[in-house]
Amino acid sequence: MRSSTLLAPTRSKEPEPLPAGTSGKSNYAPYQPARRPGGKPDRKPVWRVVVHRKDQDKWDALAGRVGLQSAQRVWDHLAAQPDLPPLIGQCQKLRGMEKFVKDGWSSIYHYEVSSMGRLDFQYNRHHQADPEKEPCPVVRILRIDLSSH
Amino acid sequence: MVTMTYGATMNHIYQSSDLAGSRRKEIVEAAQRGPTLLRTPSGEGVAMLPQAELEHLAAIRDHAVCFLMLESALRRPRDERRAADFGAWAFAVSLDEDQLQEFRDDTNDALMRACAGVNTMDSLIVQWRATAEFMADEDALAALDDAIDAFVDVARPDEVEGA
Repeated sequence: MRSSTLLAPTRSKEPEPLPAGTSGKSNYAPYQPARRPGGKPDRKPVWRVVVHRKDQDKWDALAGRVGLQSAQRVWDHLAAQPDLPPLIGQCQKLRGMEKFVKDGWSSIYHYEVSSMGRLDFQYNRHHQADPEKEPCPVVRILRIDLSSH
Repeated sequence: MVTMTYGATMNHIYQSSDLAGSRRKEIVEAAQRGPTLLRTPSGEGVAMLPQAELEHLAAIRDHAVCFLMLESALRRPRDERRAADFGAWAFAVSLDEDQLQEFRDDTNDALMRACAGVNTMDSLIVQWRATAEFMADEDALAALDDAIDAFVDVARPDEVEGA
C-alpha cells in the first residue's frame, strides 16, 4: 500500500498573495466550457425557414444524423442565401421540375448535406401568408431524406 | 475527359513476337497513346489501349444499354411498365411522362458527348435520380400544394437542442 504522503497536495491550500499591481480580477475562467465549434451565424437570418409538419421529426433528427456542424451549415445557407450556391456542399436544381415553379415559389433545389442526409426546398422572395402583413422571404423544406446512399 | 485516339496507331500492326524483342518499349509507348494492334501466331488481332480508355468505352456500352431499355420502356403504355423495364435506371419509373421525355433527351445528349470523350452521364444520372426520389415521395408532392400553415418554423439546430 502506498504511503499517504505520496498523495498529499504539493501546494498549500492558502491562496498565494497576488503580485503587486494586479487587481485580482481575471478573464481566465478554468471551469467555463469552451465555445462550441461552429459559432453563431455570421449574418442575421434573412429568410424565414419552414419545414413541413410531416418532416419536423426528421428535421429534429438531422443534426444527430449528419452532425451538428453540417446541420447548422444547411440552416445558415437557407436562412441567408438559398438563391445562391452554398459555400460548402452541393446544391442543385432538380431536373424536370419546372412545372412546380408557380405562385412565387422557385425551382426545387436538392441539397446534399452529407451521404447521410439530403433535403429538397423551394424559396419565395415575397411570400405573403396574410394580406394584412408585409410579404417576407420564405424557404420551405419539402422533403428530408435521412437514408444513407 | 478521355481522349479517344482511334486510328492514331492502328495503321501499324505489331507481331506478338515483337514483345520479346527490341520493339517491346515501342509497343508499350504506342499502347499508352491509344489502341495498338498485335497479331497473334494464330492470326487473331489483339488490341491494347490505356485502362482509362477501356473503362470509358465500357461505361458508354453500359449507358447505351440503359438508353435502349429506356427507349423500349417508353414505347409501352405507362400502366404496363415496371421498374425492371428500365434496367439500371429503374428509378425512372417514378417520373411522369413529361419528365421521361426530358430524361430521354438529356441521356441522348449525354451519350453523344460521352462518345466524343466528355463524360457528363454520371452527374446527369445523379441529378435525375434525385428528381425521381422526390416524385416517388407522395408526402413531398402533396407538400407542394399545401399552404404555409402546413409548415412550421425551424430554428438553427443548436438552438433546437438548447446547446
